[in-house]
Amino acid sequence: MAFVFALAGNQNSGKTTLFNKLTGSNQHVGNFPGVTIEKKEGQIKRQKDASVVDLPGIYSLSPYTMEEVVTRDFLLKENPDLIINIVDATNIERNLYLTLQLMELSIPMVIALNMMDEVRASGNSVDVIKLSKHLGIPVVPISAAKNEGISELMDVIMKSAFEKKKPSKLDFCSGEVHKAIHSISHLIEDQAMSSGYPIRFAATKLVEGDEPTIKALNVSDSQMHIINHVVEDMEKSLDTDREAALADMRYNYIGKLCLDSVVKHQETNEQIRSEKIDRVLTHKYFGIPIFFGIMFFIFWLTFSVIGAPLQEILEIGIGSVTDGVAQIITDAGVSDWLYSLVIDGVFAGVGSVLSFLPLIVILFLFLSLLEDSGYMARVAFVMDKMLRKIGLSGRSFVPMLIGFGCSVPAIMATRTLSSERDRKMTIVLTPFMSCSAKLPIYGMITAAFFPNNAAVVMISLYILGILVAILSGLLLKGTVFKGNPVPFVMEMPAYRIPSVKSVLIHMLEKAKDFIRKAFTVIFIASLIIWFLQSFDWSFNMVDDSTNSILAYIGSFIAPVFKPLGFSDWRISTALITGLTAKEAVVSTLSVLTGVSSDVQLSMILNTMLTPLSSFAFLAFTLLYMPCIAAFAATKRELGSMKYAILTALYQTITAYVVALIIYQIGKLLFM
Amino acid sequence: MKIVDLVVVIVIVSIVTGIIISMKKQKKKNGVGCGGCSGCSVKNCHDRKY
Repeated sequence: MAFVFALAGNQNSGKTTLFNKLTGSNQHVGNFPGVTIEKKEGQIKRQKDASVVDLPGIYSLSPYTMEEVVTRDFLLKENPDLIINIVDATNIERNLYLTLQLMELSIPMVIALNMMDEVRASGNSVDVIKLSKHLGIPVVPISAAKNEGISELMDVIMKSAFEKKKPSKLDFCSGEVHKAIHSISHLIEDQAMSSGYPIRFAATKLVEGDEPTIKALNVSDSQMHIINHVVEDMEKSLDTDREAALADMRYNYIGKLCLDSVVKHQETNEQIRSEKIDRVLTHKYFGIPIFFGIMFFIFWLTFSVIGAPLQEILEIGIGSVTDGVAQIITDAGVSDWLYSLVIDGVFAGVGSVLSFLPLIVILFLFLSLLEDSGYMARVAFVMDKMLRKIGLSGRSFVPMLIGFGCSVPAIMATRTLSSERDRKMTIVLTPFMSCSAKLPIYGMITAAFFPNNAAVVMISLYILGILVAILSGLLLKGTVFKGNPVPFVMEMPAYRIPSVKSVLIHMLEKAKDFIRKAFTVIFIASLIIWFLQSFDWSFNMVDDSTNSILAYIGSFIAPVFKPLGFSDWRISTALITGLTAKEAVVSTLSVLTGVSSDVQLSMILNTMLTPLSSFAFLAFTLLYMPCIAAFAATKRELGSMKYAILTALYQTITAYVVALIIYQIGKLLFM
Repeated sequence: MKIVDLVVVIVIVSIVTGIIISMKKQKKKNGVGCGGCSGCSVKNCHDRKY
């Protein structure tokens, strides 16, 4: 009799090592039809009639990632004689999460409890007999890397395969989830049996709202109505969503199981400390307010306490260099137009942006401290619930977090999302996160209009970006991107004190990037702006920039922004040049006003804007279409110029509407 | 045109040419979607092979 065994387990649980030990050198690599993911199949050593299939490493049987689809399809359609479930004993709780799902498939199963040598070395132990008794399946302790327990494992596998003994225990739940699974089991029993689906597995999947199962079982509308009613009752009683309820049920059972059969003498100090901190920072209700509180504190430190004095010092330095160069070229006797090009164009443009370097560096110092300490991983976790409400998973928070730095890598990072729907939606929403290039604009406006409330304005802009993303998410979820988000599984790293070296490297890299951008894009943009504001359409130099090419273009667009409170042509021009790089908004205003110092610029800005219209202007710059590099990234990732243009239009219209609401409502309230 | 003006113009044109060449190189290195400005962390972008 020929046996086919499926080798399934989490990623990095030692699957391939075990596969090689079981098969020796007989394995060959083949491909599943239609997907690019490899499976390995090999003859088991000294067992002529038995082969083993090494399936891709997975964390669950939900068909969200390619790996999960391949594994699930194999187990459901190819009917293996037995599943060898490899479990990493050093990370037993997480690994058993998959085990409970595999057991629902009602296929004979053996657990290969791997890495037992490491468990022993750390002074811990697993009571294999108890574990086996609780789960109702054989458990064999092994160390694949050290070739320990492999022959015993083989004996148990062959014995179980001959006996065809299925897992004896399938019910791990109680309470509301139990009620839901069992109600649905009775409802779909006949359909599950006729389509060859294990009943318990089918019922659990229907609780999850699993589309392939609904299709495979040909669930009718009336049955679907009942199922949804049962699940909604469960969600209401447990005050959580369906995925979280099932995950809770499984982890509760695993928790009890491990309490009885796993002995952990040595929980590291890091683990104990991390658990204590997590109780506060990932709290159900306080997690998000704590995150905003921390961000407010960081902004206050950056913009008021540390950054502002450093910025003043740098401005003095830039001013001295500008004066020095002005003196040299005046002494050299260069023409007036060239003097204007160098001083009013290059130095005013580049200098105005460069003066924000301390703010950028300090903000990224704090952000890298948060990232390296392990806190940002927790933020992704606490944001998951909020993101799921808008139709995205916590996984989307990672690109969004990168979006706080720069939209280009953030949009590219959406490639890590497994669901195409989540990916596209994240691409549309990520640019609403305030990227670091917008900081000089915020710095310029807050210095001019809100010098005593800079941190409040900053945090309100960041929150505004997140709020608009949430509202947009809700809108898109109900219209363009219908469907459910992919559940989020993420390993939490232990909290640790960030290394000085790593934080310094991150800070220096950010500083280098910023300086490089100032001397490349901003340099060229300043030259172009200077040219356009110094010449008229006949290419004659103008004395008054209101007669220039730029003034003509700016005045043409300016009326569009009048309802938003900023109708000065210089402001609308700055918004256009901001499309090359957002910092160009600052350099353009500096070139157009002919000043490079913050104080002078603040005075001139006060003649163009009011505090209310300046906030509407900030909201517009925060939300309107990102720079051209981010647009190109959007086009590439969405794979279509049409969708990229639609996305940019959507973002700009959103920005316009939000700025309009702020200005008009503000006018009603304050004027 | 005065000689000193010519010198300043040559310096500016050389700088601009240098900038454009370096941005093109950066763009080529990072692929489509990169503006070449290095405003995002290039290392981050490149190492992760996004």
